Amino acid sequence: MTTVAPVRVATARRAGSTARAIGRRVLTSVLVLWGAVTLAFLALHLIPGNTVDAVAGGTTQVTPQLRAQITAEYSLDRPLVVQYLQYLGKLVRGDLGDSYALRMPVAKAIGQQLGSTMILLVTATVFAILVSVVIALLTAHRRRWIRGLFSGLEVTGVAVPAFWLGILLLTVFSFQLHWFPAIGSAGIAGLVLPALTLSAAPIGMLTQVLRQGLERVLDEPFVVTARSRGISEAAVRLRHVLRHAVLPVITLAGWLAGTMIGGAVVVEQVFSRQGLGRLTVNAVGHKDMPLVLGIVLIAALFYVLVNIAIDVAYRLIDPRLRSEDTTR
Amino acid sequence: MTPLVDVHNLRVTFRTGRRPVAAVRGVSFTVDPGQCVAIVGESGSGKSVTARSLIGLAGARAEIGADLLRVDSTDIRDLPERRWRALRGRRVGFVLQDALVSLDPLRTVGAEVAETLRAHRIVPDAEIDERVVALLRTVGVPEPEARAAQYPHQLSGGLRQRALIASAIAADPALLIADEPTTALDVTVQAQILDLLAERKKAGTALLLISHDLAVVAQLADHILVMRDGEFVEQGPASDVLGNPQHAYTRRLLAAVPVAHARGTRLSVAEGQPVAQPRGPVSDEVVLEAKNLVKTFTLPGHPVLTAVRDVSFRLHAGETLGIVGESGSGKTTAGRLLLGLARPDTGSVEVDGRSWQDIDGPARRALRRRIQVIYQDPLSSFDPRHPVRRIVGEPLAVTGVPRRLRGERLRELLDQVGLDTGILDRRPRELSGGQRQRVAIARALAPQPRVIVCDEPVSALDVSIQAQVLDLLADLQARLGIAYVFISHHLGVIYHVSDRVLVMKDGQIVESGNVEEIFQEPAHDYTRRLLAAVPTLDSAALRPQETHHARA
Amino acid sequence: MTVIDRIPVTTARRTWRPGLVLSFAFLIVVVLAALVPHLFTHVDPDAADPAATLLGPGGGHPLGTDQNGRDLFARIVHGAAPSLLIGLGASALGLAAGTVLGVLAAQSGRIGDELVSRLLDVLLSIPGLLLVILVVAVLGAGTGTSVVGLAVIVAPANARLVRGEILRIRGSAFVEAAHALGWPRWQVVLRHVVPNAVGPVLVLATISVGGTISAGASLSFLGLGPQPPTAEWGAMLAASRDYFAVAWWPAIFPGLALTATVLAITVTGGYLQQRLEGRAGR
Repeated sequence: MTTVAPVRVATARRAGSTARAIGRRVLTSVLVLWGAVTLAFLALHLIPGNTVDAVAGGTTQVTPQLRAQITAEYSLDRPLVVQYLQYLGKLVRGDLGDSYALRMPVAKAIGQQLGSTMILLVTATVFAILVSVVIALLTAHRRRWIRGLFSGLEVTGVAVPAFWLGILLLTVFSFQLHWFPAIGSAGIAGLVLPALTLSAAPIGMLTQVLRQGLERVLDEPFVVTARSRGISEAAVRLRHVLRHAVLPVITLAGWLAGTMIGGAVVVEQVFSRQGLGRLTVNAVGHKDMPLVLGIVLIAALFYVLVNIAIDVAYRLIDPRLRSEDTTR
Repeated sequence: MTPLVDVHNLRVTFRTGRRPVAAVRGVSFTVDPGQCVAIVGESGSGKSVTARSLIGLAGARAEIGADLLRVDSTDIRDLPERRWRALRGRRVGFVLQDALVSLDPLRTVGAEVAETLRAHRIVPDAEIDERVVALLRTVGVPEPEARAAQYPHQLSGGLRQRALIASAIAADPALLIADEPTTALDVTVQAQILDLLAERKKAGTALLLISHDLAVVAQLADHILVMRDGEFVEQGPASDVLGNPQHAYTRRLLAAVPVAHARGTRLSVAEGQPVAQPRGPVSDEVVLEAKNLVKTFTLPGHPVLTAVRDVSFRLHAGETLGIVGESGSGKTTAGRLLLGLARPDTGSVEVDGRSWQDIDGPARRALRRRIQVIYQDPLSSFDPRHPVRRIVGEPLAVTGVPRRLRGERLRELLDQVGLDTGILDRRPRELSGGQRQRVAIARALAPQPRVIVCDEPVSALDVSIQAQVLDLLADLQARLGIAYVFISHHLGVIYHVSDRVLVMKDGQIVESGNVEEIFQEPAHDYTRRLLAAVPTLDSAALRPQETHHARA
Repeated sequence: MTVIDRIPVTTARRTWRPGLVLSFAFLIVVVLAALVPHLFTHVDPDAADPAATLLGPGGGHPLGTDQNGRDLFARIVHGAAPSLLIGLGASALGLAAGTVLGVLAAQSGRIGDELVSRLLDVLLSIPGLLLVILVVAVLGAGTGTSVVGLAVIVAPANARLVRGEILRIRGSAFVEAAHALGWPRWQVVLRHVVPNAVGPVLVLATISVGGTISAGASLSFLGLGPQPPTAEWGAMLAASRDYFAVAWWPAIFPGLALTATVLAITVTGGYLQQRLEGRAGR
């Protein structure tokens, strides 16, 4: 084997390799975002119907003057390539363009609604993670009927469409029992049912994956070895098993982010909450393309950031990914 | 002297399906302080379950019963979990095979060793690091300070196994249970680990050794228990069991081990005197020739790896050429080059006088029928959806055997490899290990090849099945005049089957020639080291005999 | 050598599974309702009766009526067809597109693989529902748009699976063994690669039908799916929102039908997956 010095060098090189890998990841993420921008831009300009009419909105009679003004304002007379480059140029400066319908910058419109949606997303995510970790830890390697009961519930949780679950909860808890307000986003009470609705499917999915992970790891030889050292069952589960079981769950975080964002759109609609979801639905209704595009890009950015975080988390937890030089 | 382990009529039953399965059916034995007792058996014999029962880790579904079950003067029947913990690690250390999966891959080696120290408060927290380093040094890990901070995957197989042993002996237990401690290791590393275990024994630790390998056991054991189907069929002092076996099963196991004096005889003999293995003539006709083969691999961020460098040899019809080497020696890559499944950087391979390099398309495919292959893991080499009928029938379809003749030929092939036609409709998963390898052989025979490359064909098999497969290959050679390239890490097997042998190291042939000459008078230093590391059955005879400790 | 070795491997588990039988039976009913709704009801789903709005379950209307006095049971029965059509259509289209992309990625060398894989990354980087919304924004709401939009979500996952399966199978020992037997390349693909890849891909497609039905209904709920007066479960639920406070049945029964269908498909798909894994030993 080698001497001490090369081992240190190898460690330093591994740290370098981690930084490089993450750098590579960021670079491909930028490429992916650029792809998303391009795709969305193309989709937007292949749209049937006249942009001018969309901008003019409710005005039934569009005068030639107004038409010319709008055309100039949005550079609609330029070639597509020029418009594309202009759009990219603005994007780099953080300018998402102006909303046709709301007559304000897209960034501002999104900014106004972002807070409400983020509160919902964060609450639902934290709740989903807590509940599924607890259920998985309690039901892994338990009696058959307990597992059967819970996995039945989990499958159902995944299968129930979020909007119907929302309707169900509203019917029971708001209209029949009057425990929670039926509409509006004010206060904690207004957050309970939406967050519950949004977290149902993620709880079902996360619990299943986590329990499978726990049960698989509990049978691994290194767990037998750990037990053979005389440590307690709690230490076995927390020090050895949980970290391994968490790995597949981290992989799911990307899926989770996507589901949560899509779910938020629907849930906000059901509960008549303020937020990006309603903004999106209204934007589509008004054919407000810059706004739709802006929201899609923000979501893609969020998703890409989550994926980079997943990569970093993976490398933090699993040393095998940190090093490229293995002896095997 | 009170025995450290005292077991009387131990029974272990698993309740998984509808029927309970009796894994251990009433075994009795003792282990005295400082003694090494070995349980030897093939897979499924119940040896691991017996060992794990002693530390309460036979699994949640295991039901354990015994008339007497005592470890370190503690009755461990229905022991509460808390008291188990006081026993595990502190009084009994446990070493599993292959530390790559037996050490937590997400934790440093040092943390794993320290866990035992912390669990039993062996030393104050401040001294733990120091003690970990000392322990690693004890088990022969070089630069222990640096190694303690590394993860299992960063260490070689040998170092990992040493670290695993260090974690098992950290609390200085009176008994060390080692379950197949050397199974995944190269022969030279295996020898080092066996030395290490011998050292522990000399230091006063009792050993309970679990192994499928009689030769490994012969190195260490004072007392041997031969286990089959959950029972001990024979037990006694090592020299008696190995030198004068009483039970037919023990004799069969011993006869099945390819050892020097068994060369030229059949391995799978039920009873009685050795039976000579019939041999066909080796002709002068060259069926396979490798000329200066070189194969390199480039992985991004790594130096160029030369897997095979300048390998040349000739193989004659009806001859067996052994290629022996440790893992990473390039022997498997060499096999792929011979089969035309990988292209050499330079050099050439000629099968029946035709070179892979010169031909393409149909001619190349036609040549493939001349040289066939048997893998170590037949299961993965079968399409999982296909029944045996299709697996063995496939080469007949390739070679254009008319459909109406295939059934006949199929039966003939199965007959040749000693399989019943009843298995034709089974899928690979439903076959035993030995049956799978026979199916693989039948498939390789189907195109009537001149050469078969056997890549570790018996390494995954129990010794008695291994014996049957080796005999089968020899029979087929005698009958059909097939030439074999026999790749293996197992020197005993290589010696048994080969006419000539190539010893490979780091992609190069370090020595080649007649197998008897090389094994008796190795010229190269590496060959000498390899041969010296091979555990032999004879070593037990060199140790003084001990008194009989096991219960009757 | 290990404990596991002693435990018998039960290859054919023929345990009685009420959930599976129930799911399968329910699916048959739903498919029948979609194909021949008249087996279940002769009431016209679109016949409004201003005199009978929001009648409770019972009497002449087993599940009651909606805000326009239309029979809820008839609408649910007739709603099976558009829901199934969207789910099956989107899954089939997604499967076809995904297979083409996956095969392209796996077979067209490094550059082709990179191009297709990055395209999939782009598609996957946009949350599913937003992607459909983008498609709807471009093409306008409707049944056809729903199918196309949902197919765009399903396709990348299918493509990744197809690519992964092809690479895995192509690298497996049994494919090398088939090459060693002397098959031409296309024969190996036809005999070993395709049949082994088909199973997992079809299982994913089956399971995705549940997801697409659910997502399709969500889209209708947002008003971005099939347009009125089509009897579609999601659209019915959307309409029911305004009458929650006075009538619970229009909000409950279509949702039950929808959830039960998705659940039944999930359970059936899960069973198919288990069988496949049991047989292939993975």
